[in-house]
Amino acid sequence: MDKPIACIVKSPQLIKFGDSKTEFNAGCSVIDVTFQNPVYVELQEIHFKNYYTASITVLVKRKAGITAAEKEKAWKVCVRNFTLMPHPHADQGGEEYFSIGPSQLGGAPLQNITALRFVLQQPSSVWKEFYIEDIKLFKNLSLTSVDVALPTWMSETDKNDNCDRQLKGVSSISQLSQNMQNLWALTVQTGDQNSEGALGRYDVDGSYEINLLSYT
Amino acid sequence: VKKDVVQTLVKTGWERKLRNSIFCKMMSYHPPPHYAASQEHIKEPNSYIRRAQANWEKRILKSLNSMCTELSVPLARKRPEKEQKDMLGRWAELGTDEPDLSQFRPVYAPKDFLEVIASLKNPNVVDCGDNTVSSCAWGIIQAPVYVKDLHQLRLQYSEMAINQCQSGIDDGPELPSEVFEADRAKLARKVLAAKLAPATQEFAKKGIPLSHRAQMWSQILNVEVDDVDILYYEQLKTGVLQHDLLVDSLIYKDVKLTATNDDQYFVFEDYLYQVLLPFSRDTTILQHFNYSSASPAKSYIRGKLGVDEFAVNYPPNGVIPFHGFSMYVCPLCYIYNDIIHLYFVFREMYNRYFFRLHTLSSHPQVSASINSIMGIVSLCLQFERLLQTHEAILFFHLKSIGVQPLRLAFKWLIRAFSGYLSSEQVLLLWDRILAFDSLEILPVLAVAIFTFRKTNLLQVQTFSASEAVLADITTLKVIPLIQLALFSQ
Repeated sequence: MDKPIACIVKSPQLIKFGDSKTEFNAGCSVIDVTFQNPVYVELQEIHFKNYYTASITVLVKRKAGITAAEKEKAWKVCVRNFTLMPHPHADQGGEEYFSIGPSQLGGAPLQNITALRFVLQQPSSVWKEFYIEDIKLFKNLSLTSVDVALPTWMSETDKNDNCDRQLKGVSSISQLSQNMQNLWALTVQTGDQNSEGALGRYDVDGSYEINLLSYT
Repeated sequence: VKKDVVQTLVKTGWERKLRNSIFCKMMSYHPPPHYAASQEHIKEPNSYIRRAQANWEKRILKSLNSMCTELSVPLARKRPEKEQKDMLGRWAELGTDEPDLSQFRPVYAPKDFLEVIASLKNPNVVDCGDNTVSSCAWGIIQAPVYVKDLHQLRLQYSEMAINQCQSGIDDGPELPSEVFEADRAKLARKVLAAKLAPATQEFAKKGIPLSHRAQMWSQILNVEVDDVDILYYEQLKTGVLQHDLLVDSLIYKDVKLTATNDDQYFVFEDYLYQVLLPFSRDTTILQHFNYSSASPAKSYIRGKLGVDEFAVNYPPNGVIPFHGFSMYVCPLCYIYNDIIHLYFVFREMYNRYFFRLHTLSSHPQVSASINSIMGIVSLCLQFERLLQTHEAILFFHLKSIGVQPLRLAFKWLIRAFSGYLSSEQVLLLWDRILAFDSLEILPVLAVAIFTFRKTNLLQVQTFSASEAVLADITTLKVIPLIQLALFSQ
């Protein structure tokens, strides 16, 4: 896995209304992220751990554009109201890890970023505090998204399906062997699993004499 | 070649088997965890629940250890040859022997566990003081877990609506069988012939006729006993014969205290030992700890304290039975007369549902939409919410005389009503657990029973009196009650 991009994460700023006596919590807070080097950063993935934030909006600031319109709109929303807790009053998702990947960021990697701002929202008054922690930004895709891919033998059979139709039943030797290999792989896999299931020894070298439970 | 393979798969019935096992895998599928999540985080994302469960386990552990020292019995010892042979001879009638168990006591009772659940508190929740915030419920559950409201439950259980015929109501002996029973039986045979788990599950939503239950349940749970399974059971049996565990005495004690005293279940006493004793040696049960907040107790082989290679789980399946544990098996004894089949069905039921009734957990993870079986905490809160919303007068009355409704209903929930309802009704209820793959029906029924006995409950003034009103619920018919609670308003 790639190293996360070096950045400075400021502490969350709670947005409040009213003067110091009558102020109340707006259920909204802001975390700013700036980058150490004045290099323009490219970004593909954001990882963080939630602490009772209901939803999150991510804004980016890019290198000032050339046209006036771009200059005016320095902050651009790239993720709007990404739900972290489906039910704000309940603690589901409250302490969960999240990744915002390219699909939520709009497909293409974000380029020329100078700053990042997270707007956290928690409409429920049940929670004492809310923030996100362990923010990590990545330039390249992490391993997690690769993991989800189907095992190769499954996708390969799909390809063969198309070929079969084209050749109308006449399959080449390479395909044949590939199919056989897939089958063989399958049988090996099931064989492996069977042997796993059958063994269930709980004793060590035939001995299972215990006096007391250990506290660790 | 590929076509041939597919065709033979279909012809030989392997295709169905494959589909069923994939379906079964999907039911217990857990999405890959986030890479940064630690092992304990995967088990239970919320740290306060994790801590509570760990404390609870420590308490159980202490009480087990102190029992060991008090009675000066080891947790596990090897049986001498002679005793092994003796026991093998008595395998089918283990109930006849009466070991002295007066010294043993159940490690914990549902009441103790309820205290733990009631004391669960999320540290990040604003203290509401006395009555400033409306979110302060009347009940004793404080954990802010998500529960469904009546409308959502109604949608979920739409197949149980009053306008649909149900097994358990419409096949009663007073009705002519042509009305519903005959059609139902025909459909049941068809579904069984298809041998597809999802189809069976769909069928079970309206209840399963008595004669088909055994087959249908094993189909839904994807339990098919083959030679390997028989061998496996024999291996577990050998394990029972070889080692004598303290847990065995606890199981004995529990069966003697509960099932043997129950006029519906005492005949199955021997069956219970033959299921529960091997169950305690079954290491496949350990798998469920991967996705529950609980962890098995650890120990070391005698004389090897602290040496990692000699670390073992105790008991081998990691499950320490509590008072009433054997009630999870009892109703199943009515369905299966083959011990081995009974064993594997029970094991699957435990792995899917029952373990959630006695471990703390918040809820399924956010992304796990397929596997969303609620834990006991959610079920308790669901009960309180439903009662508070729909039987507010009753709840208020009970609260004002100092009776928390959950204290009355908890024993039902933790045992999934087994031992409280008549066995036939328990089976009809468990049909629905399997069919909807959810335990949420339990609090619904508990609320329904409160509603049903409302007039009496409104007159009581003490806890014992209210307990007495709800003491005998064996005469109740569960399905009409559930319908009443879900669809009458």
